[in-house]
Amino acid sequence: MTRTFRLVALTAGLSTPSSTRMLTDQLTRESAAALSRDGSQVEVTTVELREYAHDITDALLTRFPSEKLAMVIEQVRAADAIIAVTPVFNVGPSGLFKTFFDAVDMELWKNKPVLLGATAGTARHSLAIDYAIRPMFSYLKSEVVSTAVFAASSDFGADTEGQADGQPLTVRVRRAAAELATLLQAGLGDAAADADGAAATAGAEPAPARGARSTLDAEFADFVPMDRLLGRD
Amino acid sequence: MQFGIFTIADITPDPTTGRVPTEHERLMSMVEQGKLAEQVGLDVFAIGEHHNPPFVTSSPTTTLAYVGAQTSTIILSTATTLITTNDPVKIAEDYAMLQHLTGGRVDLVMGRGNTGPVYPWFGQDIRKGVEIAISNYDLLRRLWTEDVVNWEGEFRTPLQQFTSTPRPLDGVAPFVWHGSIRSPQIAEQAAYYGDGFLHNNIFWPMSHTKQMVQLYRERFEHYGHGKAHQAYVGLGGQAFMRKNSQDAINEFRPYFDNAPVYGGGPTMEDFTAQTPLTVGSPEQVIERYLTMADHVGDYQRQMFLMDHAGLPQKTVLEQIELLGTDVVPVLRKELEARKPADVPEAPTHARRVAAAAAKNGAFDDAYRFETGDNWTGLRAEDARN
Repeated sequence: MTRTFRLVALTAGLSTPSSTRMLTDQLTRESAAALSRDGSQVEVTTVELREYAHDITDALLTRFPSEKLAMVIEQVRAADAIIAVTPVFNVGPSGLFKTFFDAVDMELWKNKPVLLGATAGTARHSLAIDYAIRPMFSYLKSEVVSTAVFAASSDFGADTEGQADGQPLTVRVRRAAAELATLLQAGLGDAAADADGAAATAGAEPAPARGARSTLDAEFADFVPMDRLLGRD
Repeated sequence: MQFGIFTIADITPDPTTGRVPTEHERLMSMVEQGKLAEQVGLDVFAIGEHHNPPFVTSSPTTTLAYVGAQTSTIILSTATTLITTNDPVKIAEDYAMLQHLTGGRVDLVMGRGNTGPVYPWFGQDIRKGVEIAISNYDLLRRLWTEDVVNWEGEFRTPLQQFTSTPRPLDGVAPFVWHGSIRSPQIAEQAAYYGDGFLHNNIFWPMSHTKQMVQLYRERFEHYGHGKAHQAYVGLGGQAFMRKNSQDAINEFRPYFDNAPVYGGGPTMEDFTAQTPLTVGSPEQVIERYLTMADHVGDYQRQMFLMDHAGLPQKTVLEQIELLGTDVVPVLRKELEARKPADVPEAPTHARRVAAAAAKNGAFDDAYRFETGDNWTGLRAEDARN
């Protein structure tokens, strides 16, 4: 049976066109290619966070997402993997990128496979991914792909670093995409779904009365029946 | 169906004049609002509880008793009572006192409180907020329903042979609503006891509110208190009205744009589309609030926030008058007409006393305690030893 992998790319560049978007497109294209090599289907959704900048700020202030932003959140929830790409500003991710994660429920990211990318003017910012972006995903308990891809402006041209490969950026993108594909094909996306289900049954077991007929979203199952909590069942 | 107003008693500068009311002015304005609410036919007046500026309402029973002494029919309630950082013994005593002094015109809305430092100020740990709410409320119920309580738990010192006085008026404790925006555990708690569930949805979209209410209703039925549609549901609301809707929009916009919570965020147009806030004519407010029951089912209590964001007292009083005279009579008629006969009326002391009498026989005030000894509260068998 062929399966379908859903990839959601979050790209936090501010200009149009943006080099961050260019890196995002390379990462989604190579990830889709790596995943479909065994005949699997791949659906890619790319979200330009810039288009949600006001919604993200509003969600941070009002603590609920607009309908438009809620659709992105549902896409993330349903995704098998996330490709998250940001420009490096002031030695960290862009504020837009960070604010999006601050404004949504942190449970979204738990056990979720994530491929990281970042862009900047020069290669001197390349470690920002590892010291300023990867730690947040560790905190969020995501499964971050080992290889993160940094692209400086010069990476979009020929090899300027004297490396053997003519196109070092493409090589890094392919390596990262292959690692993501390996994770997903090993069932890590499934594990994310399973872990959510296990949390619902172990920590906060839905009561017997609420079964298939309940139409409530999963977050509303997050309680312990009172009779059990009070030791009176 | 009950309609009322609630205030969180914030001191907020009026953004159009920069004027800031004093604490004294703010407190007295709340009292005036409560009295007017009764005069214009509203059923409930509720006040919040906070222990930090810019709020002035640290001691709700003091204010409610003062309003209660100057009114005769309106129900005095809370928005909310902090079940986490108050001692449940003191809540039992304070609200039983208030119940006696006001002839039973009291109910409570329990909340956990979301101001982090209040927990440590009162010796509690916010990370245990839900556990404390569960434990404290279970003790509170026992203090109201059992004459002599022995209790031991994690969050307060143990009680041996304790009797909370005065005993609830007519042997019937104040009705309790549980308020929570996002915690399914609190909807579950309300359902377990057959208490009310009040979703103060003023800052939330109906898509969320309806699910929290649905969860509460499903669990209410699960615990055998009645059918899901017979559970006790309350909602929050927010409106600003002028006869001419454009006048309302123009007048309220600076207050909206600078308000705590949503100021600096979404536009008033976006926010009114997404939340119950309605800015316009009384007819528009009626139209909007007639639809709430389509989402949450027939419900018992609709509360409105009218006095926040620095609105001057004169304006607030005008708003309460419009609510009571133009809006609520129509809502009351229409919503009661659509309510099926088997959906219970809103709880009042009189209805609860009648229900208790039907179940257990008439309350005998002369012989209160299960011990037969109203003086010591000791059990007869304990006294012999």
